[in-house]
Amino acid sequence: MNDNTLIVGKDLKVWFGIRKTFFSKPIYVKAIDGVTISIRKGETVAVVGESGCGKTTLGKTLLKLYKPTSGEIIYDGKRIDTLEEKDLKWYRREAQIIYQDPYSSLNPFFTIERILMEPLIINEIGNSIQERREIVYRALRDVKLEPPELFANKYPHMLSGGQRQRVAIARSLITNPRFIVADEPVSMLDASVRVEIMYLLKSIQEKYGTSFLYITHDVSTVKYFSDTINIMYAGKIVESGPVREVLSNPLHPYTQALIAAIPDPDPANRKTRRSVPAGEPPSLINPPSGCRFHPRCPYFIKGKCEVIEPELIEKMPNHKVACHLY
Amino acid sequence: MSIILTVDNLKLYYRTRRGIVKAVNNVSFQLERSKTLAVVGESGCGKSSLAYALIRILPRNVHEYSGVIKIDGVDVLKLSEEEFRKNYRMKKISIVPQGAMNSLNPVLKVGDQLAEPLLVHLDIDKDEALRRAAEVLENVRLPKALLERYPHELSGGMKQRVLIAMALIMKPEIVILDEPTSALDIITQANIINFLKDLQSEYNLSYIFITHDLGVASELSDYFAVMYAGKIAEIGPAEDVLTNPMHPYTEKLLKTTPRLRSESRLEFIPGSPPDLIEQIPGCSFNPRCPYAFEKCRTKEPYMIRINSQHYAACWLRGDEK
Amino acid sequence: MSAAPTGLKNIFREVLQTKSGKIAIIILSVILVMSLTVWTTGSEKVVKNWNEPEYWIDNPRLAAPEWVSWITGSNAPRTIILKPEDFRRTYSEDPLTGQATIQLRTRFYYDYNDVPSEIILKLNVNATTRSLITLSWTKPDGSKLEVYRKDVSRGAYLIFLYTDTDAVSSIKSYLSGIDVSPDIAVQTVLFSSEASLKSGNPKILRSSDVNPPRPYEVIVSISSRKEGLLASAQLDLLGKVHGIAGTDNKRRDIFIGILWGAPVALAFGLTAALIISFVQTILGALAAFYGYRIDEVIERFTDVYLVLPFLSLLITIQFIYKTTIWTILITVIALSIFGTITKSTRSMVLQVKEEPYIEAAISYGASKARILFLYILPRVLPYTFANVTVLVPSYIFLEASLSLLGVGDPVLPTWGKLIEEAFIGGATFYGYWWWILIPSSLIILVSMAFALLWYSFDKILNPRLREE
Repeated sequence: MNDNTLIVGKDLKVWFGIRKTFFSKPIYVKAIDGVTISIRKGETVAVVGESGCGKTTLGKTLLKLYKPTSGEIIYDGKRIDTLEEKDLKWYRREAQIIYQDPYSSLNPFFTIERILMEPLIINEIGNSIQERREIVYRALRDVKLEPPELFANKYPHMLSGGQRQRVAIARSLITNPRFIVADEPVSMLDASVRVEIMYLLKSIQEKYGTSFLYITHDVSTVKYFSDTINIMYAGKIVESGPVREVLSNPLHPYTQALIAAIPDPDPANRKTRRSVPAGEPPSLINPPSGCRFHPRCPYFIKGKCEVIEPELIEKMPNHKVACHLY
Repeated sequence: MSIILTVDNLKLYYRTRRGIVKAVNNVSFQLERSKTLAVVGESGCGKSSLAYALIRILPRNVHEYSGVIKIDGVDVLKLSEEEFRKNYRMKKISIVPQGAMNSLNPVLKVGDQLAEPLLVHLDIDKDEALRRAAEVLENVRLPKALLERYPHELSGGMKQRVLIAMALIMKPEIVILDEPTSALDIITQANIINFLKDLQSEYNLSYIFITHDLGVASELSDYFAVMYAGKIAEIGPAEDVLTNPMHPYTEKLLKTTPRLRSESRLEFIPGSPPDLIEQIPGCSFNPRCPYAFEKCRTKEPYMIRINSQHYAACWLRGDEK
Repeated sequence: MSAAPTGLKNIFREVLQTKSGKIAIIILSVILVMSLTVWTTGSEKVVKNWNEPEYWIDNPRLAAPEWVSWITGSNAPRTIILKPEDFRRTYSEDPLTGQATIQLRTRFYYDYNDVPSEIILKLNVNATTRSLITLSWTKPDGSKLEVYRKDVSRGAYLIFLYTDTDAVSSIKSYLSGIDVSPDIAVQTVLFSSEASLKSGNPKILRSSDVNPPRPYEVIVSISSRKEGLLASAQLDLLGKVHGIAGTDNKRRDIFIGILWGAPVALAFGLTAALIISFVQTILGALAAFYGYRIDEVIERFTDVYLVLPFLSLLITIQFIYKTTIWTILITVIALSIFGTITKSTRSMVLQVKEEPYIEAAISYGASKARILFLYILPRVLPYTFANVTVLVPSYIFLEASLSLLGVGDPVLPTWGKLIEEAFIGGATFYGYWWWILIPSSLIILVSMAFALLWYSFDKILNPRLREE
């Protein structure tokens, strides 16, 4: 950890308790089970995994929308995992979120202007309506919804999916945060619009120096908008490192499978079968013992992989992997 | 090269409060036996409507439904609803619907749901229907025990396979797959695609694969039809369309697809896909097309021949029909 | 896609566009206008007048509505009031005896097919000694008879000619005088021609039965010592039909009763429905939003309330304490603060709470209270309003039921009260149908109006999900 680090999550565990009946003991869904992640200032860190691997929970925990069951979160040198909501008001200006679904992440009863003004009003930014309106217009221009006056008075249902997502991005920017969690920001948009939004996020990062946590299941987008990539499986990080490094030289069998499974538009694809491990990601209530990937791993070592959980070790400079093969 | 399905000038228009939605606007194509045709396009281009037009599951507010759909030489559009239902739907052509996760009835056991089409269409008793259901589960590599389970006990990939089993249970020749993998994880998606490939060669199925994902489409498809604003913009063999696209929309669409294995710079298409209610004069794509010229704004292009199998609806390609 | 946002103003505008909405608004406006009459009269006066017999003395008892006469073509008699100013006064003195006589003459044309239900002579006499009062009656056929002769002291008198003993005996003497059996009723004698009386088949004599038409003439004379002799008279010929809605057994115009009862019905129904809906909505929202203990508590209270025998409790309380309408209102509200709306709002809010834009609000620092009131409640309110609409008629019915059972407000002229008095007054037994049917129809009409309103609300709130 150095001075350049903005936020660190150390050995984070987030377990959700559920009770089957009123009288039985609670069982836990171990959404995140010991994750360490750090993001530097101005950096974009990607977290990639399939649905249910815990990546969204990780993002929201770092934002303190979920309370970690154990572990630490250190933001700008301050420990925030123990703070109560009432002491976190300053953090709500610093850290924001962009949701996946542009159709339900905006309040359908508010105008765009109102949606963007809410964070300003709540955080007491701006001294008058005029001032706040100026800030709102500036944000709309930043996301290329121009002229801002035209969009400010519309309701979300009057805009397209891509436009709504821009509003969501504008909302995340409006308090000048230093850290934004982008949870699958483009997966519900049309293909032709996705690229636009990703470039927009990149230009915002370059302009404002914001750090991003980019959560996605689509590995192929990562190299267009991330510096570091973390691969998550069943609540744990199994590999991490610089994007190009990990994508060109994947070490963990799961990463290798993920990459092998992704088709680029190539007519030759139909002539071959992809070799991918069978099965599905495990339940988070009772994950497999030892290495969680062992039931599906083509390199399974009996006696070792199902017994001992592998540690995340640095195999190459900055390139970490958790696997007994190494 | 025998043709199993011919579609000619197919139209499906809906009536809504705001106007007539021309979801399928004069679509024509052919499907060869044991081959796969991908119908790709963005959301709102009409591809799902095309699927439902082919299988004739229509909503109440249909304004126009016309054209020619020839299955094995018979124009099924001319058949009555009853005849189509008895002899064609599920028997010759079936569909695996979109939103697979929610397509199964949560209060019925899997076995009962699989058996239902058999009980409705054939004159067999419940035991025989369940026996055949077990058989088809085997075909999709699922254990027979699943007959007794409820949908919520199954994983996403399993549910998808059950739906594919339901589409296959009457042994049809044509299967329409409407976004079969979009709700699934990448690895499960690859597994399902492998599985669909195996099924195709084992049972000589002809697929119509509807999706917005060009990469996944290329895994299965021999032919590509690119849809835009209710019409087909380009159609041809996969090799031609993917590597040498002749319609600017296809070209742009390929450039917006992030690629894992190559370093190309991504582009985006300015503007957004049009509403299917407003009709743009001339070529529907012209407002967003970088190569648009005068003719594009006034005359709607027809399918222009590139070679014997490759067609594109674009004035840039001359005017040979 | 979720329903397009509709502020309350937009919703009302849309309601007015639907057919059912238009009808509902029309009916409700009419009722509202009816309610205004209380405002113009003043509510204390309303209560006082309704319960004071003298206010209604000039109305017939148990008269059917006037339009019945038109529909059946029976040309039933309407009330004719001959006020003091309708009498011509002649004064004569006898200088020898010191007696003076005031003669008050009046006349009226009578063309109805039936006799008046009552004839009341109101007399005001001011004299130093006793006076002699006579009333003579001249019919269009020219026959004349003395109807009344009595010696009275000064004062105000109400003389009911059909039943007054002196009037009856005068009539009897007249009948014997013309050689007719004396068992004929006063009203028949007064209004039949002498010829038809003699023939034994009395038929009503109308002014128009004579050519040229002649009126009935009445002369009231008062004789007494001339010092300070003053007199005035009013003759009420009460009809058998009256007004738009007839009269009840206390001569009260039922239509006025309806007008005065309208605001009670509306106010009670609306107030109860509004307060109860809102309280239940907020409780449901609080339960869903804050969860855990608060949710448990509210849910358990709701369950208990749902099991309460509401009507029985209310009737019992009313029977024991016999309270006025405002206390009834408060009791009703107290017995309904938890209910089904709590549960349905709770499930709605539970859903809305999960939407990403709610979590987004937390991420930019919105307090829970702000989210509840500014983000969630506006989403839920349209449904609350729809609920209000459905509930109003129930509470109107409730108040009417309480009155009907005799445990409603004791003095107010509510619609339920009208129906109750109709039952007690034997309306069903004797066939005074207007007394029951008209108030009942109004209750049904108002309920229908609210049902139509709810119907158009439903069409507006739901179809966006269906159509596009």
